[in-house]
Amino acid sequence: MLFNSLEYLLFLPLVFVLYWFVFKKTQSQNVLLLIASYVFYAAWDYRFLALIILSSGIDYLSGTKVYNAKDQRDKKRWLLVSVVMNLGALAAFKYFDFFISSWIDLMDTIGVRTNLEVLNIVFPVGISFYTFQTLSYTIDIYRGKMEPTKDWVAFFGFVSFFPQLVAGPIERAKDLLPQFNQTRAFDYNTAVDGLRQILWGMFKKVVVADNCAILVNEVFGHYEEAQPLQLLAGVCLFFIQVYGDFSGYSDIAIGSAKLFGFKLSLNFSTPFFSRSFGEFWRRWHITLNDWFRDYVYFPLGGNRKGRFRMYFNIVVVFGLCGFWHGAQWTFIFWGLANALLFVVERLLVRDKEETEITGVKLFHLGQLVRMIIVFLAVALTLVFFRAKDLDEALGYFGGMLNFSGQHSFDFSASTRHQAMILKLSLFIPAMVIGEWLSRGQDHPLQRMPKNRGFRYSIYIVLTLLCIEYLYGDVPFVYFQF
Amino acid sequence: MKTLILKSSLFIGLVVLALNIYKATLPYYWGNSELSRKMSGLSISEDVNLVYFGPSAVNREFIPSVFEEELDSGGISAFNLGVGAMYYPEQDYLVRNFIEDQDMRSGIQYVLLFAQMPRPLNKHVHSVRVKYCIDWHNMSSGVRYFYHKNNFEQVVNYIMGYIENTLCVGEVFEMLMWRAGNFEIDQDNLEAKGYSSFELETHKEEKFNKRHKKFVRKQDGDEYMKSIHRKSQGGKGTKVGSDDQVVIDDQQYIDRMARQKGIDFIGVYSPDFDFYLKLKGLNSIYLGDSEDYQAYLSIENRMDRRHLNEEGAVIHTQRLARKMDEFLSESGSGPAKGRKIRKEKDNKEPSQERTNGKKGKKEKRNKKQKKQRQKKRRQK
Repeated sequence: MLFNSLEYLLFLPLVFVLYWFVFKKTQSQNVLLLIASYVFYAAWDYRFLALIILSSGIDYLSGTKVYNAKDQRDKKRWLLVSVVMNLGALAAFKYFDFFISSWIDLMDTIGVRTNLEVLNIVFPVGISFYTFQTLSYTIDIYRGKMEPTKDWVAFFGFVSFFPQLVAGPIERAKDLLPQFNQTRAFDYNTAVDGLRQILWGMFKKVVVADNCAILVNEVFGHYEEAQPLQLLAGVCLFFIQVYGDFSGYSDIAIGSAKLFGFKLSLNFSTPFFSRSFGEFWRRWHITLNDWFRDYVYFPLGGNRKGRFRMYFNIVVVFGLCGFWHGAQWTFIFWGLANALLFVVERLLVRDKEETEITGVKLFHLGQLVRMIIVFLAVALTLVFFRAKDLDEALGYFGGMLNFSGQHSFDFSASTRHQAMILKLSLFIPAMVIGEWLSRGQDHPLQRMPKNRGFRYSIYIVLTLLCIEYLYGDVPFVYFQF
Repeated sequence: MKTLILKSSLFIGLVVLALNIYKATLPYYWGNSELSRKMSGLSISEDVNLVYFGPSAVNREFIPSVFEEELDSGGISAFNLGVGAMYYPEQDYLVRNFIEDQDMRSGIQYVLLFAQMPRPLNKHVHSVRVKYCIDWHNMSSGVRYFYHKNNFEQVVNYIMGYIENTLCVGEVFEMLMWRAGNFEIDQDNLEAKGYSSFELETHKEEKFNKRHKKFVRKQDGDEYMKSIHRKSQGGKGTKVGSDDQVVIDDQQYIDRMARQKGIDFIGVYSPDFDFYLKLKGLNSIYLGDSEDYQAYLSIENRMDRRHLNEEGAVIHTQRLARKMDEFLSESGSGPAKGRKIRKEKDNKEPSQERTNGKKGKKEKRNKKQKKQRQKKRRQK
């Protein structure tokens, strides 16, 4: 079930009404959320429900075992069970074909024939997200940061909580799990805020991202014939598309959770206004980056073992982060390209931890130039992210440098695309201005004008735009991960 | 909590209500721009008393002028309301609304409909063209039909299509822009009374030539034509399934509506409708019998797998006119009976006229059309 579908817009109010009017006790509300989450997931592919139940069961058990283990060796053994099972499932469903095909390619290059074949395994939606979530539970227990829960309904609900099940935010057990155990009271203001965040998320997804996708698909589909500037525009649009798509998803997820009295972590914090690559990665897909920081970067030594080791650790983390996104070389290259930008920046400029941008003036020229540089550089790395393979990515970069003047494709030539460009020239600035004005807040509609007429005008315009573009058949980009 | 539910429901309800009120002010064919043009043509065409709805098989293959010439029964002035990709939910909706439309139906005596089975709503389920016509009647027919076919995906598609149409999902922009749109009919199309010849669309000549060449090269229509022929030979009288009954019910429903308004509703059945004999009490023309079949299914008369070229369309329309004559003489109804428009024809035996005059008429028509094409090219 997609968030941007009518099914979800019927499903959400139904669960909401049952949750607050029928199932009033915390325990029964948890049962309802668990059932609703499984229905939500089964609407996709009921066969993979078994996998998520199995994964939850193993971590529930191993969490308790780790906590109750008599000695460190026992603790490690049970932690290993959890890690192997989770990463094993991920490797089997997501990476098996990649390893096999890479092995076949390697053998081919050295002239050895193999009988191996790729299995074309169906990818269970959301596996990368909920696997990381459950892993954090056992690791945190192992590290003594939290105690295991005895309430299996709460734990299974935490793993499969439908607002964030398929594409995050990746929640830590210590943050989300206690919310399942505490009594949740309905708060009108929080619920209204949740609805507003859903509306804003829908706008970003169905109005901005899905319309960008049409032009992006055209440009990437004709990259060999397109003009260099159009290729640059194409990849910038792709950046906006990915942001609108994924941050829109996160907003809908966080907003939906608010309706049930849950608080999910912030996943994006106006990343377009970052003035350094370091700042960008503190604002982009925050929960994943925090996960890699806490469970990979710090255990590798972080910045405590000297400068060279720190750069090495950064490269490893970015490489893994790329690989987490997809079982393809293009994603690994995307991660490494970002690592390069990050390391070079660290070498040249000392990162000032610029996380607060509330006071920044937009027309401060120096800041603006830095924002544009960061935007363009990150956008260029996304060529790897969007390309089908490395050949396409290199061809795309080649096209951007081809000023020979022989370009048969011009996406601005068709009237349909012109209309699309016109629409986007309204929608994208609306999104960017909204986000700029609301920097420091969860979302732009959080603090609305007091004038009722103005407030409702904004609601009506956004609702009409969402109704217009709510086709329900454009999946979220991050669902493939 | 109740305040939140009340406020948000009221907000969404009012927005949707406003959209539906606005939609109600648009003509019922607003979602089909090509039909909007044809309707504007029909509204300024005098003396039309027969309209023919259907997909491209009507748009490209029914020539009103040939039909009128070929009819023994005079007094019929036809208009082609066929539009490409007008499938079952849409044409059913349009015919029902047309019969209810007092302005448009005035003077119309016959409404012909190219009967089709309900189509799965897969590929373009979210497009305006597919959704705007899914009203309650169409939704329930689609659901019943696909339920009997055990195709539950389509049951869901029809229900979702109906909900999306009611909530105006994906329709807002087109609805708002409809009034700003220019839906005047093209002069050539008006003169041809709605008929759109492939040959006259010179700006698409290259595309059509490619399609025809591909068709001739692959002969991919061959198997299709054979299957139609086989159906026409042995399909009649096949048992009516529960799914077929849905289509029959709909045809009967439209027929009842038409009778109340004093209109003869006539279903035109292709060979796919092997249950047509069961359509008791309905006016129908069946095109599946094998008379002239090979003539108009032969490759030289076809544009592509599914469409006749102009030569084929002439043969097809003449055949339809003969069937219409049969229908009129069998039913003994209609103002056309005995009223001949072309007085010079009255002195001739109809069959003699058909054999003697056909070649001459055809040549004249071909010359006229050639001239039109040349004129168009020169203008370009």
